[in-house]
Amino acid sequence: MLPRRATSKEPPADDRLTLAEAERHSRVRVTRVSGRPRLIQRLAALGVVPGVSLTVVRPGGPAMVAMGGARIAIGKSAARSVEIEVDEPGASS
Amino acid sequence: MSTPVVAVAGCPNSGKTSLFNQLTGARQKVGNWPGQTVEKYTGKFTVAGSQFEAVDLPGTYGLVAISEEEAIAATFLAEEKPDVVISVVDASNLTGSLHLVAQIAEAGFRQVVALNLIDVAERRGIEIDDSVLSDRLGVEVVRTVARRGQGIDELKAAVVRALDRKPMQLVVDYGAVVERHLGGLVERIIDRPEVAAAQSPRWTALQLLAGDRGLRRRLGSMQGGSEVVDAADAFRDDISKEASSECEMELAEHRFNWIAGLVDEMTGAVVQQTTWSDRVDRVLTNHYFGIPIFLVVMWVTLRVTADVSAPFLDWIDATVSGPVSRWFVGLLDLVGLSGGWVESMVVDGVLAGVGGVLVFVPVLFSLYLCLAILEDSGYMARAAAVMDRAMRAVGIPGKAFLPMMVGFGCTVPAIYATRTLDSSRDRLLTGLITPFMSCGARLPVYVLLAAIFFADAKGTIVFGMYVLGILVAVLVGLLLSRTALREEEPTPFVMVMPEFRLPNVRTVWMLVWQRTMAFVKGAGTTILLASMAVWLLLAIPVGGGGTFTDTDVEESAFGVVAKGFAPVLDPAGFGDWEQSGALLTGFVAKEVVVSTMAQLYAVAGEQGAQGAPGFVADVEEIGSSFVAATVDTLKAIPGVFGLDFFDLEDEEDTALQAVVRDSFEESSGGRGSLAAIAFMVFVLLYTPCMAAVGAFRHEFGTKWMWVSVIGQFLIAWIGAVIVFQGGKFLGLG
Repeated sequence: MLPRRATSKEPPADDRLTLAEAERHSRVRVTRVSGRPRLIQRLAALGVVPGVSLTVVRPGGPAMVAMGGARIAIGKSAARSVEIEVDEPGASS
Repeated sequence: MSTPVVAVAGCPNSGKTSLFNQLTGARQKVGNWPGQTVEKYTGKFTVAGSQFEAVDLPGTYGLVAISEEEAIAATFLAEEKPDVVISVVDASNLTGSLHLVAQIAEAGFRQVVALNLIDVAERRGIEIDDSVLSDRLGVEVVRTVARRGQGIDELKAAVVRALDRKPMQLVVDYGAVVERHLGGLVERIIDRPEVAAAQSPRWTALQLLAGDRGLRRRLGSMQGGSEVVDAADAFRDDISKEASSECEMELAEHRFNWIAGLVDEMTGAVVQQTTWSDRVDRVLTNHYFGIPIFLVVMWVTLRVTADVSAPFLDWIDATVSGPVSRWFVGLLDLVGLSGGWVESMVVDGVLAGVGGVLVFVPVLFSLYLCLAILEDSGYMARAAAVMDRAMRAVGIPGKAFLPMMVGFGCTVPAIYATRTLDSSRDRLLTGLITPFMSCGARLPVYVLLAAIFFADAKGTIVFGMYVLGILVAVLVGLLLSRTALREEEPTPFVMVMPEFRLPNVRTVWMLVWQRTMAFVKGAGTTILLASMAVWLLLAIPVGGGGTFTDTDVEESAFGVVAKGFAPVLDPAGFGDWEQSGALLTGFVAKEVVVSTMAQLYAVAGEQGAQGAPGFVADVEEIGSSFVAATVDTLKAIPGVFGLDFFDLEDEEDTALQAVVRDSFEESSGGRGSLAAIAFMVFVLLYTPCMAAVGAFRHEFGTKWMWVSVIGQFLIAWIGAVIVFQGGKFLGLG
C-alpha cells in the first residue's frame, strides 16, 4: 500500500490548505490530489488535477468551483483531499 | 461493404443528444445495450448516396469508466470499434470536453470533432482557432449549433472524408517516469499476440495504468491477459512511488497539462467571468435557503403531477370502460361471439388491463414533464448537490434522490434510473429503498379509503402516507448502511453543474417520451398479463355449481387463494377474503387493488346498465370530454400554487364506499378506520408490483430480488400490525 497523506479522517496539517477551506471568489491552484481510487478517477476525469487553476464560486460543502467554462460541485470530504495554493485571495464576506 | 458505423461520443450536457437527433432525424431505433437496460439509440443517415449507421453513446467525461452508464461508452468503443467517432465538444468548456477527445485520439480512432454550442462560446467572447485542434489531432473540426441544426451537413461530409483517412494515433508525453514504465508495459503487451492485436498496445497500457476496470475484465478472457494485468499493477505501484502521487493522477495531470497548452493556443488567455448562472447558483445552493427551495420545487412538482393529470385520467378511464368496451362488444356481436367467455375475456381481461395501463400515462407524463424541465434547466444537478449532505447522513448518496423522485410516479423507471449512481453499493441501496416512495398506483387506494373513513381529513391522510413512505425509506436506508451495505468507501460527491438555461422543447419531449414509453412497454405488458391472469382465476369454478366464466367469485379459484391468504392479515385488522384478494392482485399491480375490490364486492356492474348510444354519439362524447378534461386541467393550474394539498374529489360510487365501510368494520371488530389506515400502510409498503420486481431482478439479480420482495412484505405486515394493534391498545378507532 502507498503511504497516504491528508485523507478525510485526519485533519489537514496547518501548512497544507485544502479546497474545503478555500474562500469565496479566491483563485487557487491545485497542488496535490490524494485519496481513494474512485475519488481520484472521478476528479481526474473532470480535470481537477495538480496544476489547474480554479475559481471558488461558493465555498464550503459542497464547494462549487469554476474551471474553464465548467462548474463543478465537490462535497466536503472530497474537497478535503484536494490540496491547494492560493493565487489570489478572495472576498472574506 | 457493410454500412459504416459512426459513434457519437461526448460529455453530458455537450449537446450530444441534440446533435444525434439532427444527424439521424426521425429515423431512430431504440434497443438495449448488450446485457444492459440502458436504452441504446441508433439511427441511419445518408450522405452523397452512401448510408451510415449512427450510435448515440451515453455521456461520459473520459474513457476510464466509473459509473455503469459510462462503462457502456468505453466498452462499445473498445469492442465494436466504430469506423468513425464524432466527438461532441462544448465550445464554452473546452478544457473539460477535450479530455475525452484526447483519449479517443490516443486510442487511435478516426475522429471528427463537432465544436458544438459555438454560439454560447461566442456570446461569452471566446474566440476559437480550431485549426490548432485539427493540426494537433489530425482530425477535421466542424463548428455546430446542434439545437438549431447548424453545421450538420458539413459534419456529415467530414464523416465521409474521415472514413477514407488512415486512423491516426495521438501520442501525449506523460513525462519521464510514466513513459519509462509505459514502455515496459507495452513490451509485455507486444509479447502476447492476442492482447497486442485487440487494440493499440500503448493505449492498452495507458488504460491499464489508469486502472480501467472494464479493460481488466476484457483482458481476463484473453490469452496472456491476466499476466499483462498483473504486470500493469506492479508498474502502477512503481509509478506511484516514484512520482509520489497516485498513478491515475499522474497520467491525468500530464494529459490535462497537454490540454491546457492546446486550449491556450486555441483561445488565447480568456478572462474568467462570473456569469448570471453563478449568481442564480448562490441563491439556489445557499447554505440556508437551498433545502427549503428544493422542498418547494418538489412540492410544486407533485402538485402539478396530481392536479394536471387527474382530469385526463378520468377521461381515459371513462373512454375505455365506456365507448371502447361497447365497440368491442358490438364487434364481437357482428362475428357472433357476444355474450360468451370471449366477450368476458376481452372486456374484463384485456380491456380492463389496457385501461389499467393507460390510466397511468397522464400521471407519469406530467411527472416526467416536470422532472425533464428541472433536469434540462440544470436544477436537478443543484438539487443533488444541496441534498447530498442531508442524505449522506443516512447513508444515501445525493444522486439517489432523482430515482427516488421518479419513484413517486412509477417504481419501474425509478429502478432503472439508479444506473447513474457511481458505485454498485449505492445503486443497490437506492434500489432497495426506492419502492417505499409512494408511486402513482397506490394513490387511488388511499383516496378511496380516506374518502370513506376520513372524509374531513382526506388530504392529510394521503399526504401522511407519502411522508410515511419517505420515513420508511430513510429508516431502511439507515439500517442497511449500518449493516449489510456498510460503506467501505463512501462515494465522494463530485458532480459537474451544467449551466442554467431555458429547457429545450425537443430535449424535454424526448426525455418524457422515452420514460413514459419505458413504462408502457415494461410495466404495461406485465399489467396486461396480470389482468388476464386474474380474470382467468376468477373464471375457473372450484366449488359450488358454477361453470367457466359464470361462477361466484367466492367459489372461483381466486376466492380460494384469497381465503388461504386471509388469516395472515387478520392481526392487522383486514383479514376478510375480499380484502386479502384485493391485496393479492395488488402484488401483481397496485392500480388494480381498487378495481378488484369493486369486482369482489360485486358492485362494478352498474356502469354497463346504461343504454348503448350510437358510434357517432360515442365519438362526440370522447371528443367533448377530452376538451372538458383539458379545460379542467387548465383550471387546476392556478390551484397548484394554492394551499390545499391534494384537494381530492369524491368520485368513487357510493355503493362501493358503503360495502367497503361495512367490510372494514366487520373484519376489524368495529374499528374500521383503524383497519383502513393499517390497510393503507400495507399498500404503501408491500411489493409495488410484478413489473417493479422484474426490473429489480434485471438490475440486481435474483438473490437481491428475494431480499427486496420478502423484506418489503415483512415491513408492510409489521407496519400494518403495529398500526392496528397499537391503535387498539391506545383505544383508537
